[in-house]
Amino acid sequence: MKKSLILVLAMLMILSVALSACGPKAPATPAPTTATEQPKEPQELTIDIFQENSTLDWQGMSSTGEIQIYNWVMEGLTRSAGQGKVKPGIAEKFEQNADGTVWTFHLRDAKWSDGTPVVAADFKYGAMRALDPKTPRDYTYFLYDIVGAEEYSSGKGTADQVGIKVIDEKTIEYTLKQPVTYFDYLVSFPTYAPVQQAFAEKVGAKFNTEAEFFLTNGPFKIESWQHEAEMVYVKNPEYWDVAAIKLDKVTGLMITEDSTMFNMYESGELDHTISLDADQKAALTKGEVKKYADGSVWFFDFNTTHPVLKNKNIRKALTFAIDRQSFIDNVARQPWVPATAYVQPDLIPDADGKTPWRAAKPGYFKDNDVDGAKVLLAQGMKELGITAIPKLKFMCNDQATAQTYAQAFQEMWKKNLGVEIVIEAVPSAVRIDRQQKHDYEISLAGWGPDYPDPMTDLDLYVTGGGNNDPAYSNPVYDKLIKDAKAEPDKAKKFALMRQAEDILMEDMPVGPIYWRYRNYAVREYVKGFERDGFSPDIQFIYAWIEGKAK
Amino acid sequence: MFKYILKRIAAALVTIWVVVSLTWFMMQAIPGDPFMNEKRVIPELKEQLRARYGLDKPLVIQYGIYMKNFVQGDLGTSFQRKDRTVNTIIKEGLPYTADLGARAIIFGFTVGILLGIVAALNHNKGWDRFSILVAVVGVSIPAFVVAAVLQYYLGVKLKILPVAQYKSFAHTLMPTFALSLGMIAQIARFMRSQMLDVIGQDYIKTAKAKGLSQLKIIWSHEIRNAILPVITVLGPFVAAILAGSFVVETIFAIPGIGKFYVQSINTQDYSLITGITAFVGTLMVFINLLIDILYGLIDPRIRLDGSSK
Repeated sequence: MKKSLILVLAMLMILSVALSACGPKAPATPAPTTATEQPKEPQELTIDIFQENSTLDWQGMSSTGEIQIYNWVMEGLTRSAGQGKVKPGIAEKFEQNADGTVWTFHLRDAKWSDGTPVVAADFKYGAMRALDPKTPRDYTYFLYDIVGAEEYSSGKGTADQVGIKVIDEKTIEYTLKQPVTYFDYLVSFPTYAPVQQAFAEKVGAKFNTEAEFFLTNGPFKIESWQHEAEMVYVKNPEYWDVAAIKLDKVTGLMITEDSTMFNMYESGELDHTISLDADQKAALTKGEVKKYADGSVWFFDFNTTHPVLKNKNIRKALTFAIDRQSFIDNVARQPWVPATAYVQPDLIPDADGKTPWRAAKPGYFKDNDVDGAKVLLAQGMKELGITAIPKLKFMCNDQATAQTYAQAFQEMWKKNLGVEIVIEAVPSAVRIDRQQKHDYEISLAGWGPDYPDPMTDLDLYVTGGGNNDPAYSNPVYDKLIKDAKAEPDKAKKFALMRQAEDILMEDMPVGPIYWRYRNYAVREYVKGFERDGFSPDIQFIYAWIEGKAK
Repeated sequence: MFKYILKRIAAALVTIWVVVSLTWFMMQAIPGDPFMNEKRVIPELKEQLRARYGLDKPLVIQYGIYMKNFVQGDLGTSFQRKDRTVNTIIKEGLPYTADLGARAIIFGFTVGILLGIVAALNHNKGWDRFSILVAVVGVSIPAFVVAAVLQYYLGVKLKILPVAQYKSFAHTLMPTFALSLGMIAQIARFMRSQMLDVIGQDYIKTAKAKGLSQLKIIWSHEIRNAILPVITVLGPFVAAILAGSFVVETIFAIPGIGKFYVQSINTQDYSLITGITAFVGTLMVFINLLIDILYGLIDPRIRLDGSSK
C-alpha cells in the first residue's frame, strides 16, 4: 500500500512540474554588461496603454489609443506639438495660397525604418487608401475638404479628380473646396499618413497586423506586439530627428482594470497610470500626480422634440438649477471644472491662435442659479400652458459612476425645482444609438474636440447634422455655421462662430455641466512626459529617465 | 457503449446549434450596432460599413450566412478588432484561458479531494473544522474578491508575487488560487461527505475484520468508492471555472478569451460574442460527454446505456 501512496505522490509531483514547464515562460534576462562598461541610466519606460486597439492600419484609425501609437511610430507632414498645435514633421516647411485653398508641403530628407526614402507619392498613396470606396473607414471624412475627395470616396467621382498632386519627389499639393485654417493640423492625423506603395502591396491584407508587417518613419518602431497583452517600442535609428530622442525602449502594457493598473504602479511594475481616482491620488506623492485637460465637455442633452423639453426656458431652468461645484467636489470627486458655456477652455484658441476662445466670454450663466432657474421654469410652464412638469426620463450609461451622477442630478432637480426624473441606465452603445434616433428625453453626454478650432464643437448642432442628437434646428444658427466655414478672413470667421455659440447658449438644446480634466500618475524620475486632450494623448517621444537609481 | 456515444454526439450537435442560434438572435435584438461610439461615423459611411460586414441584408439571410460559415469553422471577423478574425482571437487567447483553467481545475480538484479525505478521516477534529472554514470562505467569497485581496497583499504590500500579467510560473499562482478556491471548498465538502458515507458501510467493517491495514482500507476501499460521485460534478466545475475566468483574467490582465465576453458585450461585437459563445458551448458539451464516458469506464458497475453487467 505504501507503494501506491508513493506512486500517487510521485505522480502529483511530476504533474506539478509538468504544469509549471508547460506554463508561460519567464522573459529572457538580458546579457550582463562587461566589467569595463559603465552603464548609463537605462532609458526604459513602462506605461499603461489600456487595451488592444481596433486597428493599427493608419487610414483606419479613429480612437485616441490608436492615434497616440501613430504619433509614437509614424510622422505625417506635420506632427502634434501638444495642445492642438502642430509643428513641421516630414514636411520641413509648408505654405498656402492667398485664399487658403491650396496648401503646398515641402518634404525634408527622411527615411522609412528600412532605410528607403519617404517621398511625396507615399502621402498621396496613403490618402487614396483612405478614400478608396471599396474600404470605407471611420475618419475618411477628414479628407473631405479636399476637392473631389468626397465624390471619389462615395463612388460618384474618379481618383484623378481628387485634389492631391505630387509635384515632385519632395513636394505635394492639396487643393481644398474652401479655406480650412487648421489644415496643417488635419495632415498630422493618421488618415493623411504616408504609405509606401511597394511595401503595402507586398504585405497586402497583413498590413500593420503584426510587428513584422510595419514600415514606419517615426521616432520609435514596434519591436514586438503580443496581442491583448503588450507592445514594445524601440528607438528608430532611421528617424530624421533621432538625436532628439532619449528613450531607448518603451513597453506599453494593456491593463484595463483601474485597480490592477494602480496596484502595478504601486508595486513598481508600471511607471505611469492612465487615470487616478480621488482615493488613489491621495495615496501618492504630489510630485507623481499630474493633471491635464482632456478637452471634453459633458452636458445635458435635451430632446427638443419632446412636448415639454421643446421649450428653451424649461431646458435653461434644468441647466441652471445644478450646483456643479458641489457635484464635482462631493459626488464625482474629480479635477473637473464647472462649465457654464459649451466650447472648452484651455484647448481651443481664438482667432489669434494663442488666446483661449473662452477668455472673451468665460460663461453664459451662473453656476447653481436656483432662483434664476425657478423664474425660467415658471416662464416655460406658462408658455406651454401647463401647471406642472411631468416625470422626465434621464438616460445615462450603466456604469456605477454614471448612475451615481444621475442620482445627484435627480436629487438637485427635485430639491431645487420640484421636477422629478426617472433614471434609465443603459449600455453606452445603446445610449448613443437612442440619442441618434432621438429616442430619449434627457441624456448625459460628452463631446471631445477633434481639432483646435471652435467649429469642432459648434458644427454638431446644424439642422439634420449626424451628431445633432437634440434635433435642434435654428436657421440663423445654420447660416452662421455655413458662413463661418466659407469665410476666408479669420477674424470674421471667428466672430461668426462667437455669434453661433451665443445662440446655442441662448436656446440651450444642450446644457453644459463640466469640462473634464484628468489626474494621472507618472514617476518623478520620468521627465518630459506629457498627456494631451487632443489626440495623441500620451506623449513620451521627448521624455527621458533621470534619477531612477536614487 | 458505442451506440450511446453516437446518440450523445448527435444530441451535442443539436445543443450547439441551439446555443449558437439563440446567441446570434439575442445579439440582433439588442439596440444599437457595432459602429456606435461617441465619435460616430457619418451616416453615409455607416451604411458603407454595414454593407461591408453584410449587416444591410435581411436577418434571415445574415443568419444563413453565419451558420454556413460556422459549419465550415469560420466564426467571422470582429467588429472591434477590425484586422483580426474571431478564429484568430480565440486561437491566441485560448492557450491562456486553457492554461489557467487547467491549473485551477487540477489544483482545485487535488486540494479539494485531499482536504475532504483528511477531514473525513479526522471527523469532528481540527482538520474537519478547518475544512468547514475553507468551505464557507470558498463558497461565500467570489473569485474576484479573492483575486483583488491577493493582488493587493501579495503583490503590492509584500511584493512577493507579480501583480498582473501571465509571463512566468510566479504569475500563475494568484489567479490559479483565486479561481480554484470555490472548487476546493465544494469538492472538499462533497468528498468529505462521500468518505463518511463509505466509512460507515458494512464492507469496510468486513475489511477491518479481515485484518487489512488501515492504509489499504483507506486507499483501496474508502477513497476509491468515495471519489466516483465527485468525478460526476467535474463538468459543472469546468463551466464554473471558465465563467470565473472572465473576471480573474481582467483583474490579472491575462490575455485569454474570458475578458472578451465582457468587453465585446459593451461594444456589441456580434461576431465575437457569438463566436466565443459557440466555441465555449461546444467545448462544454464535449467535456460533459467525455466525463460521462470516463465515469462509465471507471466504474464497471455502471453502463451508461442502462444495461447491467
